Amino acid sequence: MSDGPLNAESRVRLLVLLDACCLLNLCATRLIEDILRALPLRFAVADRAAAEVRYLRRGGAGLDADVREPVDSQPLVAAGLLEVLAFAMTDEEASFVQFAANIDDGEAMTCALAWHRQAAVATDDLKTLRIVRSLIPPLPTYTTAGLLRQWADGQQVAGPDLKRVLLNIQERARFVPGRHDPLRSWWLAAMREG
Amino acid sequence: MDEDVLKVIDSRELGRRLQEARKASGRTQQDVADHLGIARTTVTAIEKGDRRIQPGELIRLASFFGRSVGEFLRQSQPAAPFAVQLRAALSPTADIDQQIAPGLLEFQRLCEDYVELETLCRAPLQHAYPNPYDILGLAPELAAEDVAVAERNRLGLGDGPLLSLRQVLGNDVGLRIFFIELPPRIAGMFAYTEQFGGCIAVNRNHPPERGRLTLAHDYAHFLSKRFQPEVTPIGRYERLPDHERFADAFARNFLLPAAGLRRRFHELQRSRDQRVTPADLCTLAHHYFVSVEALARRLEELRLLPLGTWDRLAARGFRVREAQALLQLTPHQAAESELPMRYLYLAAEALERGDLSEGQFARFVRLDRLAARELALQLSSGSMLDSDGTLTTLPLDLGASLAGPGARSSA
Repeated sequence: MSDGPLNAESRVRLLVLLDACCLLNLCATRLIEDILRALPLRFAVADRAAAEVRYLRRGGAGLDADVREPVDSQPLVAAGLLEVLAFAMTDEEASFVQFAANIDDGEAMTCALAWHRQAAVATDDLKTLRIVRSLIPPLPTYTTAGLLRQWADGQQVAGPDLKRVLLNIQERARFVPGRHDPLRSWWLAAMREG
Repeated sequence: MDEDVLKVIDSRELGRRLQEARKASGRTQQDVADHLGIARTTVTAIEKGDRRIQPGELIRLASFFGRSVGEFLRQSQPAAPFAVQLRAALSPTADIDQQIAPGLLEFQRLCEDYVELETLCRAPLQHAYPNPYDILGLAPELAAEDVAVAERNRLGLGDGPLLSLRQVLGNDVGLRIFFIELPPRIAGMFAYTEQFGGCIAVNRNHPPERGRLTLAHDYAHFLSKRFQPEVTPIGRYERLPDHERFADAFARNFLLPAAGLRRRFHELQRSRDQRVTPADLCTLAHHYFVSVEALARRLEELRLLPLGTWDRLAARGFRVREAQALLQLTPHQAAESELPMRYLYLAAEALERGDLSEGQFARFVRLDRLAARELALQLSSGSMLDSDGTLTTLPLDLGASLAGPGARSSA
């Protein structure tokens, strides 16, 4: 599975492990609760990845645009929209060590938990995407742009509203999809047309 | 997934890294044994590489030492453990041994990271090292002057101020230079290994002028005794040994070369009708990017000022910072960045290519996630979309060949 429409009638929602980069981006939207609630998926984050998401910029055009605003994912957890996961078995720890030889700890834990829990990985990181897509079988993957596009299409968010969300990510999390991201052109078009 | 990394990794190298991390964190083998709930002899066996560590143990140890698991699993060649040699060089000042342990390990990790980035980007650091200068049996101060002149000539530096000292020694000579957290009493340190080449760490908390003097001082060690690691404490010696006198004198001669300084000082005297003032000293020191004290003492050494001039100024309560502010002498730069620019560009290139993950990039550049993103943007493109959706800057492909589309590979 990859970015694209999901079967809304699916009885068991797919678990998606958000990597730190995706969680940072979604928090920057200021609409993360709406987004996680609207998508037909379940979301979780590895505790090591969650620990890396500490703050965002305030954003906007004011003089205080660069001020740090702490990220608190606790309300998402309390609302049942996000689960923070720890290792539950030694196999997960062993896989984590395998992944950690090639990527950083937060990314490695995300991949290890996804591998053992039949979950998808949401990441914008090129190296992590390469690794999870090269597994046999490959893990399903999402990107920030993929999740946002699915949310925008499903909720019919477009024009200035969508542009505001993308601009928040750019200003507050300093993120624009990279050249490797197939949805980069969608993102750029939404910014131009909004 | 790949073959079990803990089975294929060199367990002695892994054990050495664990031992270094344990020492840098100030913990004993017994502390580790208690934390893991195993016998101390088992910890000894793990550190020696005689007993393979289990995944869960490695995860808990990395957390215990405040390190990432990946740091212990790097695929790079085993590093010559110069932190150990440096610690030995520090003896017998054992009272600061524990304070400096984290700095020693960070210095070594930075060198390992630098080489790993070069390997990832296939861009080894080019060395332009001279043969070691033989100064045995020579008067240290005279030898230092000769070597400083020779090095300035070799590097095409003339006899003027050398403002870009770090860039010259890093890019033109090929030294690995870092500005890191060190105890206040440590000015810097120098090490050389076949794998890393010459490496210098400077105390980033010292004033920039002092940092430049330290850098030049440690460069002198590289030029004369490169196989002997050195830690440069402040006020360690009652009577300086010859190699320290040489290094101190080299730093003065390299940053304040006699010929150029004499010429400028005489021009100053002529323009002032022979009456040089403390304000002139401040201006000249700023011109050379050295401290006023270092300049005054150098002028005394060259007999351009009467001996004791600086001591008299200091005794009269001459306040340098206030004088510099009055003269509107703007600082040359903010504090030196911890990492060399070349290191940062290599890391950005590796991230852009997907050879480093974003988390690894953040770890290599010693920043949190968001600050690392901002740095990567700044280094690799600087591009962001304006609110009207315009992409404002052209991404810079750091990995692109500059040979042109028709050029053929030399391989």
